Amino acid sequence: MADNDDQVVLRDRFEIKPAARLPQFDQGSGPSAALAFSAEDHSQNGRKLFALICPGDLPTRAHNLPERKAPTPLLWPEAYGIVDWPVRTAGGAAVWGRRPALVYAQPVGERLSTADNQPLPRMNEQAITRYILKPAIQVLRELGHLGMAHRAIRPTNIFYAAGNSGEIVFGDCFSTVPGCHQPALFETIENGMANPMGRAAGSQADDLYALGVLLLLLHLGRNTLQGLSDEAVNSAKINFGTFSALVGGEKVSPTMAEMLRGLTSDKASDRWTLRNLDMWMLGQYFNPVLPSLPQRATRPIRFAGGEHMSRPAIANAMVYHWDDAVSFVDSGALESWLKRGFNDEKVGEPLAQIRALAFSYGASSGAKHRTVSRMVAFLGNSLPICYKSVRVHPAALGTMLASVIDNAPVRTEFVELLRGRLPQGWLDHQPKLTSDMMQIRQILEGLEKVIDRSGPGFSVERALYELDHATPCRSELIADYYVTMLKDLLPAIDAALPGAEAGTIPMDRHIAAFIAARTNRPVERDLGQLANVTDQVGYRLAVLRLIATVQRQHGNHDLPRLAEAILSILDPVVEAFHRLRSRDELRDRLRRFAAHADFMQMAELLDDEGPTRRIDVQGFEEAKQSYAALEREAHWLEEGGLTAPARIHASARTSSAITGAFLASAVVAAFAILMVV
Amino acid sequence: MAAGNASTQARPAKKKSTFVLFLVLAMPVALLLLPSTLVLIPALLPTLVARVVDTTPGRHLTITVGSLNLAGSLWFMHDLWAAGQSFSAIAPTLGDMLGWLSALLGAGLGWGIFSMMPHVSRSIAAAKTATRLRSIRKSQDDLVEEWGDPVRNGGAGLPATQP
Repeated sequence: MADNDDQVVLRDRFEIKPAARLPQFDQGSGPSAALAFSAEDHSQNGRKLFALICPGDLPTRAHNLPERKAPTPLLWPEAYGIVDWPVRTAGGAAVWGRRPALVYAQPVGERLSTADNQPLPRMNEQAITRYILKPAIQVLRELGHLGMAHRAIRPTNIFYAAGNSGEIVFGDCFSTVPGCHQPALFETIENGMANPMGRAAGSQADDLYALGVLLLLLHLGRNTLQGLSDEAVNSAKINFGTFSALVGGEKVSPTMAEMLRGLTSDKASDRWTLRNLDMWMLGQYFNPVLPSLPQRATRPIRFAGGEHMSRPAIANAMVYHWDDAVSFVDSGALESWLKRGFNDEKVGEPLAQIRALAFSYGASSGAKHRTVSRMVAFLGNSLPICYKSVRVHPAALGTMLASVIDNAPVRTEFVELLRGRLPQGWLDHQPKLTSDMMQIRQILEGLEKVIDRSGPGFSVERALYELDHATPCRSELIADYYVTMLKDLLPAIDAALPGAEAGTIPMDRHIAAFIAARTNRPVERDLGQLANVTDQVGYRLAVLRLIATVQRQHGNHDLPRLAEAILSILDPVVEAFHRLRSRDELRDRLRRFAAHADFMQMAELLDDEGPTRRIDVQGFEEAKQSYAALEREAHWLEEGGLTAPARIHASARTSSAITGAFLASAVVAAFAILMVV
Repeated sequence: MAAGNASTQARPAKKKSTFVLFLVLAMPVALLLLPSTLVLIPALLPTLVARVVDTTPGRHLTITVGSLNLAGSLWFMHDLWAAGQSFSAIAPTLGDMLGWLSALLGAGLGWGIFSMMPHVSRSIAAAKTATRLRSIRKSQDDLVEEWGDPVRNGGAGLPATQP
């Protein structure tokens, strides 16, 4: 936890001050924002620093922060780490937890724009090339070498190197989820349509697109689509192409138009690369990139108050007017338009297949919604997976789920989406599967086995941790501790237990799911026992075994509070042993193991299939049989087993014969002796 | 059924052959020691009576009375053999009152033992039962002490049986 004087120190060098907010350096807004605080460098006094504290419930890219190879005009963290942090207040006192923190040098200049709706500076071709394009190429090239995309290129995340003009520095891109704070305008059609938290981590192509939009807006000096809704922005991009939609009626110089058309191409494969930009800056001319517009129908279709001429356009409208879309698809109007508008009589076949698949998976009550979802994937296979209010790229399923899991209605929609196999349907519509998509398919196949099961360690919690391995554990017990790796789980539980109620069992649905998703050992049996709370012995043993599984994978024995908690919950398990003397012996041994927090030995000792238990059960069975045999014998004796008249008479007859014969023998012997003498 | 009948028929046949074997072996001895035989026949009359009234298998009464009657008849044998075991000694021997007393006392003692033995057996069986019951309860208490009350549930409803 924090030091006594509540100082937060990162890497023994940077002090972060929780009381000194610097909102001007916040990254994004809302619950997914990274908030800025003042920071101080203890080894170099006087430096102006700020720290971004990442949200505690979302994965962060900062975990895999690579080593920078060359200085670039990009805010690069001076340090990264998980720090003790006052995460909330309870009863007027700060509750401390842990949060990822990034420390940066404060930019000297102002932001290019302070808000999305603020006017932008107008720049000519030379200024754009010199002050924006050149540093952007440097940044993207460096990030390209590191194998990552910036995904936060927008005017509000760019600072002037000094003052309020001239050279620029790109803002942070590590503290928040990629693309989540980007206005839809700066996102490709695919990502722009997705929920902010449902956008793919993307690639350099997405950065180049955002750069193209940025350059175009700066060249025009204004946003021609200002004030339009995301739906309208996407619709304009789909119908006219991004370049034409943004330029509107404005004039753009031919050389700039050439470059901007290339960067804002809606077809990723046609989009300009860094190499194109390099050549363009050297003065090479390229054939203009033609806008990649979807096939237009021979006649429009009316839906939700608008007329739509292409498949992606109607899909975009359906996504934003979901309830209307359900009745619209159900009415058959869409099918009819697809047949006549595109002269495609064969379209009925895939549509029938879509309906059949929608009815095949998931609850029957949601079949119409699933039909709409699959229809959207059919109409625009590059569009995100859409289901009711959820619009998510398959690569961002984990991040999206992390952001909605506490929002019951949206979480339900998300679970319906997974149970309806809609992501798999989306993948089936892709003309070509990349290696990333193959990996997603593999994860989804694994999820099929667990999403329909309701017990602890399954269902939506398991999906949360399977879909994104950087998602922090959301257990109520340790949610404040930002646990993303299995090795940190037990120390976090150990640290959290003193603040929890007495008798707290260190296990819940989230911890179980987190372990099941992260461990490389089979835990199905334990999860099954965890679901059966009525069998308290099995339940508590399962808790112990899951904790032991984590310890076996990441040996850590400095867990005194967890050991104490585990010891206290094991009493019913010990009581389940039959041999009374064994119970005392077991308690002694458990206490010895708990002193070293040796959960593996504890689990082995109490294992219901282990030797101790086996001997106990076997011994008890034998004892029961012995007791029963003795009881039967006692009954027999009490009912006159030995004193029954028939038995007595038989025995008496034999005894008298023997006695008589014996006495006679003695007399004969005596007579013989007398005769001899 | 055929096999069953064969076995029930075989039992008297076997008995008969044993009796014949006894006669074959005893007859030469009886003839050789004819004066002794002639004295023993009246002396063992109580045994003959016991044999007649004893219908139980094993003939335990006959054995009890017979063995002691025979031991008591040794008085006559002593007298007879002391007189040279001649035919002339038979009458004086059988006239000895002490000889009759001895033979009949022996037979009487046999009858007495046979009559008293059930009482003795009953007493012994009762004592054995009490001792064994104490031992059983002790063993059961030891089991309960080691395994707790649930160990009692193993034999619920089981019939009483001989160990």
